[in-house]
Amino acid sequence: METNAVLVNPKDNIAVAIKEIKAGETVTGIGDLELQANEDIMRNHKVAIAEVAENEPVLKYGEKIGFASKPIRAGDWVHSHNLKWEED
Amino acid sequence: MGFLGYRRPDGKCGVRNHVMVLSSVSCANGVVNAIGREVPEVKAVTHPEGCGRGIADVEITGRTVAGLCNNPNVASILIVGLGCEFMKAPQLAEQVQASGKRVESLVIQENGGTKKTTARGIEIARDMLAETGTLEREACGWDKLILGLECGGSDALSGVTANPLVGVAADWLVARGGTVILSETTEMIGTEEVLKKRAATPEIGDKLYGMIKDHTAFVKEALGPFASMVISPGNIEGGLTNITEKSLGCIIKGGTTPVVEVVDYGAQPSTAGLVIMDTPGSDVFSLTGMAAGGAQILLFTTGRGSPVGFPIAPVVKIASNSELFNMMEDDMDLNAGRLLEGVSIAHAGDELVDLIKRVAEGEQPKAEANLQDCLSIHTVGPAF
Repeated sequence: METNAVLVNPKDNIAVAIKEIKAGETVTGIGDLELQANEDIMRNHKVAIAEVAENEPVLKYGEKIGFASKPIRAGDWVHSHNLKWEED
Repeated sequence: MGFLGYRRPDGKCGVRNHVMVLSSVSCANGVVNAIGREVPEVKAVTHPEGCGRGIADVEITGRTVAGLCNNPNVASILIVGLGCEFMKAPQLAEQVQASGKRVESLVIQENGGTKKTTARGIEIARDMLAETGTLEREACGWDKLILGLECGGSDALSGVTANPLVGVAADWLVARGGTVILSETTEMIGTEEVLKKRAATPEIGDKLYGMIKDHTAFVKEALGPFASMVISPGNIEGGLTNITEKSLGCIIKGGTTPVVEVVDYGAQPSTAGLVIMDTPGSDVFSLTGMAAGGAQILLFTTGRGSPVGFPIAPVVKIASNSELFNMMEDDMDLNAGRLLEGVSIAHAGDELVDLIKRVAEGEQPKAEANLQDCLSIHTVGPAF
């Protein structure tokens, strides 16, 4: 299967889509993890590869890029609608 | 192991052997350009500074111009001044003489004007070329190399492909006792906590944290309603959610080693390792600062495509995606887009290190061959 995502750092809980990933499609390029996208993920956007509870950190480059503003499921698109910069 | 470079009297090693003809003030740019047209083998370097500025800028310009003269890629320097400017050519020449290099100065008001000064400048430049032309490359250790890192015209993939790839080269050089300069304070906004943790000592961490916080406040004040443009709507549409995410993608160029020093714009690092320089994010200002700090080679990642080079230090272009690499192949040296096409970062890292070695020994990257000689000195205050 063609690679459609990149895990930038092994500690991360999101991957970056390098192609558009349609809802239901398998997310590849993230190691042995079995994962389907819950919604369409635009190219270069983030897809959660693990569950992130509300107020828990979202990690990219192995570092915090913000916190879940609502519960995030593995396979969800991650962007401004569910990722806040600062903790409440 | 190391590279074949040009040993300078001060012990530094150049990857190029330039004769630089430099203006001390913008009023001398015409003469410098006239010398450059007649003797195209020299690097004719002009800039808009040298007079009519406040104290802070006088200091920055003086440090930057002296730093460019001290860059080991420069063998000999002819400084052309007007005479009545603030930053005087003979004083600058005296300051640079400590490097042991041949430095001469010409003052237009004392040499009978444009034509006479140009004629004398041509003679001196040709003599310097004849003299430096006999120098041969000798074995130099990697500890003598300073790499300056830059990202410009970035896209969403810069932080995923090209910048992590540069990080591999940064770690490679630091492991061999060399120095890497990470710059662009604007593109560190939001990563102050991360960088502070990576500092070699608490003092360095505090300095770094303060530098980024001060710059964040400055950006808010200076850009007002446009401050949020530091992360643009285009960035957000492209998939970057906030400034921290964007900045993390920039600082990854510096690799993973501790930050050993924080230096001002254009200042030379005093120690080897990963050094952070306080520069604007704007590419040409940042390149100029790092070259003044002694960087002999500049690594420049780009996603949208930048053709920019620098007069006295070769600039290596690393494309973040294959579309750009193919579209602007005359400007690009390495395609990091292949990281998304099955090429491992370890393999691409080896290729980049190999390219750095070849460039250090004389191979011209595209921007150098294209004579993309861009230079701008950072200023903080108004002109008077």
